[in-house]
Amino acid sequence: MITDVNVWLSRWPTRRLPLDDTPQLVATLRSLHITDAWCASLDGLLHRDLRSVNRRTVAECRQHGPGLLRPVAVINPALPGWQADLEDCQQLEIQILRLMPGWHGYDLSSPHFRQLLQSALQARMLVQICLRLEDPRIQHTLLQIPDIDASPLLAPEITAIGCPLMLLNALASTTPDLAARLAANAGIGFDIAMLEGLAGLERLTTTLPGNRIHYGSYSPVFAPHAASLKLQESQLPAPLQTLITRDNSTELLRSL
Amino acid sequence: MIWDLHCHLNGVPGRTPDEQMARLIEVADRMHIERLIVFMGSPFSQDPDPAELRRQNDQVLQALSHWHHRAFGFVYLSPAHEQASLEELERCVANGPMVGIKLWVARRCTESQIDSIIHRATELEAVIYQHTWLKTTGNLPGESTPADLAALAARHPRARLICGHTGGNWEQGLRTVRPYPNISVDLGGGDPLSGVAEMAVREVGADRVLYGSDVAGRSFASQLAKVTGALLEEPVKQAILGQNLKRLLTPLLQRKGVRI
Repeated sequence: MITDVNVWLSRWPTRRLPLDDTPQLVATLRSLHITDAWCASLDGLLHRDLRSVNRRTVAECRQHGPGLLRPVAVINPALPGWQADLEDCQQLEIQILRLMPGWHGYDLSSPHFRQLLQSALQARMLVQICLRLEDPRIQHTLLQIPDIDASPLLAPEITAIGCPLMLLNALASTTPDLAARLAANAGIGFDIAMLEGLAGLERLTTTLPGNRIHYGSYSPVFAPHAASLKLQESQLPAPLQTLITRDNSTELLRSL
Repeated sequence: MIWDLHCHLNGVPGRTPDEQMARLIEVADRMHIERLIVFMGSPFSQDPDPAELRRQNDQVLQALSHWHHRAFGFVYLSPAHEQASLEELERCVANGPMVGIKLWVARRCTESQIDSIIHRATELEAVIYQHTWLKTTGNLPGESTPADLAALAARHPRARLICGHTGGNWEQGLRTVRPYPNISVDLGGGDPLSGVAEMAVREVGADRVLYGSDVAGRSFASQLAKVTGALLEEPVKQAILGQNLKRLLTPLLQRKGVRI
């Protein structure tokens, strides 16, 4: 039983992906023993009608992966009227929001972002923040999106809100020192999709507490097998592996 | 059978090359990787002088010394030091255990000083690994592009060339090297994006696609996943994971009397 906190539906903007057809993605996730996949739509990168995007996500999850695909809503707090999108998510019983600040043109010190965290807390929602979606070195020349700096999350006006936060695709662009401070001082979790290096999980667990690490694959943009093989490459004690693959995410949802 | 084309000592925990190599093998065993190709020492040096080239190659020779049944080495050379590179080629490949050469970012492979190195490596039947990137954010001054390598391949049609990182921007890299049958592509060293192996097989043919990890900057896991998770037939995956590299190395290994 594995919870994958970083899964996506629909199409990447600049190429077709081998598993961007949801039934095929579902089959692959099941083959890797994923039992709970947190899914947002890649349409949310560029679409502005996010209410439609999120409703399609819910429908897609229900149609192709009931019990496996858990819908995650994309919210853009830089858009006017984002609060209505959030209310719609509540009606749809969505518990998790996913933000893409780089693609939506704001940073984590923006007032819009703070307002969204306050609203998410009131709505008892978990907020996932994508710090990167593509290596800047290989981006399309017309879609050059900067990595997002996570250090504003340490500011007192953010930590005081107390909204549960998880960073996705953060470990390629966040220093180990900053990641450790975000985990220790702000209780922020990290997924492992962009974790690299020899036996990377063994190294990561020396700098981050085990209860702040989550199994995330960034499927289907990344090969879904990559996260699974990271568990094989590192020798972790079984209880720690269970925390990372299931218990941490379960506890996060339970705490909402 | 998995043979990893692209491994470094730099970044591997250990006080000595021997300790680093032992750690590499320990983790490779978990991933069922039989053979590793190792090149360059620590720390990484983008424009090494002749003494530094020799020092880094000595580190690799030392690392290999107890692991000849599990690992091979490529000699690190630089077109910025043509004569010293030719001497290192003789020392490490012609008269030593190494089986290929590694060219990084000191000079682009369009520069004429590289021709004598490529010519001698081809005489020796050594594999030539050229780092390539085509960065949206801009290349280093001495960093070769896939187009640079294509021009080199045209000048040296008998050379056994490898396009490092498939050019980074792999969709463009594959299109660029497609017409040159003496160029194979290394899948290693980039994010584990879905579809790279499938496009590589479609564009250049399964026998020109090689698995490499670029460990320790990358993980074995993420790079293996590009192949093991690809929508390809199992025999094609086996070719990419090891058989193609073995075939490229076999002539020189046979000359050296290495049984594989």
